[in-house]
Amino acid sequence: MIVTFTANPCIEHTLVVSQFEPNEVNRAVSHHRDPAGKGINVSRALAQNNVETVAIFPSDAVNGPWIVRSLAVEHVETMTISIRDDVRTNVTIVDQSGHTTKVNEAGPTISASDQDAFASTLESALALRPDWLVLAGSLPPGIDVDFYAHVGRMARDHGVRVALDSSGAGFAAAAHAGIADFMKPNLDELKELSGRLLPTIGDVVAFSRSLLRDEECSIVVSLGSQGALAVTTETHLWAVHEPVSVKSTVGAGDCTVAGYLSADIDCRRQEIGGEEGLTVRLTTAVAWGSAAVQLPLATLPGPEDVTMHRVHVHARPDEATHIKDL
Amino acid sequence: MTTSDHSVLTTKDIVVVDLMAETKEEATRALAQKLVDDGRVTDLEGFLEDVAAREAQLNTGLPGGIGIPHARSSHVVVPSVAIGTTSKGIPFGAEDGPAHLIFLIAAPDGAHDEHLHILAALARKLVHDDFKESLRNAKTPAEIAAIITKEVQK
Repeated sequence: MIVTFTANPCIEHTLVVSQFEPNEVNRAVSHHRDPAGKGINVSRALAQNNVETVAIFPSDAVNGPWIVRSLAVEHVETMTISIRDDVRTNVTIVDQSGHTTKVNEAGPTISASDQDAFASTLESALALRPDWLVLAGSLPPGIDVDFYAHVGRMARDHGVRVALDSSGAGFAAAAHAGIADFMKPNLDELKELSGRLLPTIGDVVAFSRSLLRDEECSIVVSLGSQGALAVTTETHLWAVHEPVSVKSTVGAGDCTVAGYLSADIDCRRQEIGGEEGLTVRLTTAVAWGSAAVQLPLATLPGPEDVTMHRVHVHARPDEATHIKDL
Repeated sequence: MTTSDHSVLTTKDIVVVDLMAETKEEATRALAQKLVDDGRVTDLEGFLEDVAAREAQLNTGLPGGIGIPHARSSHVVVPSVAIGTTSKGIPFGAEDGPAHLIFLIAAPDGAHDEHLHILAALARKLVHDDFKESLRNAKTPAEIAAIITKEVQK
């Protein structure tokens, strides 16, 4: 079972209009509302692929219960922490000529007592002994910058592995604290964390290794259409999916995380370790991510969308190769 | 037999403008024959079997009129991308219609990562409509080969 935590969830409200006109009354030809936020997306992708998952997130009086009910329909279990401020609604207006207009709310401010409630709910979820705790997304205003690091230490005390997919100061604090067993930065996030340009595969591998606590840990650096690099203390692998037609990249990174963790559970069950295990995990991660980009906005892939055999893996690509030349 | 420059992925000798073919098998065979004639593939039938094995798993057609048959094969001498264009289109299994641009990727079997480099470079370029447009608008094999050398060759 995989527990995810989303500190700043939202409802993604998508309105489709034929041609968006500012200062006019626009009529939606269709619309949909989806529960979102990085951890929630990971849980939804896992549930679509029949992996047991619990999503933890703060809930207000109206939007939170709607998210809970929507996730229940998708077989995602939930644990919520009540907060006073509204959970965000983000509006996306998609125009049929391809223009997209987004309006995002800032989201709630989290108080010190909210934060204590987050930690105690996470602690009770850790007592369930999940396979993984996923800490995903940036931290909302008000939360301590070392909150992920703190929760990660708590998870380690319970013997629960931690996956970290975030950005900004909260990510940096947690990444350097050595609490993560798995991280999935994209190249820009890794560069920001390192404060360097990381032009070659060797640079990415060396910096990633500096963040690995031990030989059980791994990092997958996502490279968009150029696939992803997986790094452990022992080896590094490069995987690419065959060219696909891209519909929406929103949520693809979350599917990559979900794919990796789903394969991790399978690999442990079947005792597939070492480079072979890493190959299976990376292949699944890239396959789920590539499946997601081929689907419309906010649609998550199920087993019928995932094409594992279209992912090609190469062990230990030349470290002198520039990432831009991959 | 003289062959083209094997250090580049695509030369004018392995590009066919207005491919004469009705099916993806005919299109793939015509392009594979070009690779054999250019000394890039040693065994036409063996190579076609490897391409067909991949194609049998899942269609390689992409929305937007693209077909990407490909194989890593022991019958391939050097990494190559043979290209065919067709204005009337050849069915490659994409939902939205036939393929007008066909990339036949041939990569040698073995421990090298050329196959991944070609796939990654094409994946990166095919997102851009102007790349596809420039290939469709090209009139001669030499023009197409020059575009591939500039945009895809690392």
